[in-house]
Amino acid sequence: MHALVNFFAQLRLFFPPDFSPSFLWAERVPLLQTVEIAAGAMVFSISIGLVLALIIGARLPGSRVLYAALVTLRCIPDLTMAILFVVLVGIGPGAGMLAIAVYYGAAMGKVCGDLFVSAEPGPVESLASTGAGAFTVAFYGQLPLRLKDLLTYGAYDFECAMRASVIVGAVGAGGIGTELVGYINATDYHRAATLVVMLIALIAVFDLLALAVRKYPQLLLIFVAGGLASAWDCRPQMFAWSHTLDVLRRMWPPRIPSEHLGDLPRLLGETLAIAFGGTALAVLLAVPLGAAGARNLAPAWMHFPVRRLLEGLRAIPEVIWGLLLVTMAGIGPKSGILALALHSTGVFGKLYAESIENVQWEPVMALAATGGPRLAIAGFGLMPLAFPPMAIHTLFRFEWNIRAATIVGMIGAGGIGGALFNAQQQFFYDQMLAYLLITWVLVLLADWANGQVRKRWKVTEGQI
Amino acid sequence: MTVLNIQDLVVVRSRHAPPVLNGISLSLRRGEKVAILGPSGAGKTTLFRAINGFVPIESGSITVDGISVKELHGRRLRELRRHIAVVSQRHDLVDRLRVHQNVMAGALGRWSAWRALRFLFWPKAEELAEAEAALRRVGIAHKLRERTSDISGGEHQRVAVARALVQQPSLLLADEPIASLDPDLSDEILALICSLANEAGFALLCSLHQPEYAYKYFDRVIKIQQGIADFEERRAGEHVDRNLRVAD
Repeated sequence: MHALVNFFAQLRLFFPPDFSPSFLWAERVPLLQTVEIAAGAMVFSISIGLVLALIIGARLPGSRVLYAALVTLRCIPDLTMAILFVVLVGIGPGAGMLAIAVYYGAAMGKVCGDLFVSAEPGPVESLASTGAGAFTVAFYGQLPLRLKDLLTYGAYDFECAMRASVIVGAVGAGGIGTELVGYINATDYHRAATLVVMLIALIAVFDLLALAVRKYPQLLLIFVAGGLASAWDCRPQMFAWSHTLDVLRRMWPPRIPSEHLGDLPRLLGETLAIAFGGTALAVLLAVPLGAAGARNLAPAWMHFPVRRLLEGLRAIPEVIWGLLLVTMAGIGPKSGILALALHSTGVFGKLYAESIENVQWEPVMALAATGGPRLAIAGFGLMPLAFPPMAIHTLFRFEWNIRAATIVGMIGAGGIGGALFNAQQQFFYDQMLAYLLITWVLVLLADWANGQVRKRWKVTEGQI
Repeated sequence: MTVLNIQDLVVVRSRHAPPVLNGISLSLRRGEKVAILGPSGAGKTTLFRAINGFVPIESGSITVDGISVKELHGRRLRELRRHIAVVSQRHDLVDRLRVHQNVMAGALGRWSAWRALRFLFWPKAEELAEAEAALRRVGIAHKLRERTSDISGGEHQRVAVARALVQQPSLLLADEPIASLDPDLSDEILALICSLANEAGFALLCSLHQPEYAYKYFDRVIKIQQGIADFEERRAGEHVDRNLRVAD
């Protein structure tokens, strides 16, 4: 709590943001870079993802290995992936673009592969009986059969990748994020504030674009041309094979010096504390806020401002909250917990409010008919009925927050992410790889544990 | 003593559509049992919702225990709703609560919000005893602590009736209470609520699809079609209520 008070006390340092025309004009370059990272990464991730998905859907030889590889690749958080590419291909937007392309390409391949595999067997078999090859059958059979779901997921993927492109810069992967870190390190908070505003605006624009893509998926085709141009413009500027090979050589074998091994439990503990603490704090804050933001429970004068507050919290990604909090409230897991809590509160608040709005209406009306007070009706009807979707949302977000905890660690919240970042900064690439593998195993385990809980609760993503 | 009195009730959904209820008049005394017959969309549910103050009244009047529903809002409306218990077709219990919690939801009108929330987590012995007594009157006292999602369709309706009993209403509105039950269960539930009406003395207004049940269990039967009460019939040997008249 002290950290939070400190944070808000120092918030005034950010006012007023620097909106001078010369500064805004200068920032057009990183802004364009961010857009290019997003567009280029999208083209790559969608095209790679679709081909991989078709291979999985056609059950070509090796597709099971490929599927397992994609599942595990998805367990390296996007920002961790970015730091790896920064090391491999040099600082700049190229690294960010590649990281997002690989992470979301794997995600797209896995999810769309699932969609293809679950396509209706009838039409697919009749195509196969013509003697066509497996890939042709997948292309003419499964692809059209699943196109609608594919586009829905494609649009969702698009949204996530767009958001990610804004933040990969925080570890030197170019664009507006790198600028923001630069100004924060130079303690020029007025300009940092401007960049945060630009970043929120950019995310809002990206969200609108994603909404448009959801409605008119054909738009994706137009983006392909722009994306290819962007990708060429963003190509790694300082790339050299000899450097990359040298870095890879220095990464192998992964190693943690014996004097640092004792720190490992503490580092893991910090990362888990950030994930658990951030999620728990967010749940505590989001239950009352979600109830106050539900249109069927709270009066308009209450739910309207609460919804806007939640949108504001959600608009700023964890990494940006982390950057601000680390600056204002100090380095350490406390800032990480708050960063995750603030963003997740926005996410949970919205989802909880929607869960309450979507409850079965008849039982609630029956309770209202007894003439009970509003709060009693909420306790007897709305809350118990909204609980299952709320629990599922919380579970999915917790899975994400394990990734986010390692990510905010890199920008100063400590834990395993902090150790990874320090190793990278000191060019100890063997240590960096070791921490990267530990992060990967941690996320893999968390995903597996969540999967077990989901299996017990018998829930799937589509059920929410 | 008149419990419910409706005079020339008109309810509209929008200015351009024909009225949902177009001049209904009806009156119920204590302990009286009246069935409303009519096809789906005839306005039966709207009539019940209007009595409960959930839909605005265009013209005409509704009084319950002498209090007019029309101009009530907020706390005053909630106080009136305590006089009126509702049992409807399925889906009106909260599946995720236990049976005793659903039964005592009938007491929400007289409990403070604080007491209601406390009961969810720490029910007191006398509150549980009250829930059990209500369940005994509907014949399923042994289901007190069951999960509501685990009980059968007939038991579901019995719990809804028990909740209505806890409310100690002067009027029970039963909105197609047997719509999702098989014939044997339908007989049981209708017999139950009618005998409780005799015993506890509340007025009972029940909407139904099937005429045979209406004539078997109720003192009077009213038919509604397109928002108009077509005609009323009475069972042999009983007097027509003078307040009741057929709308134009």
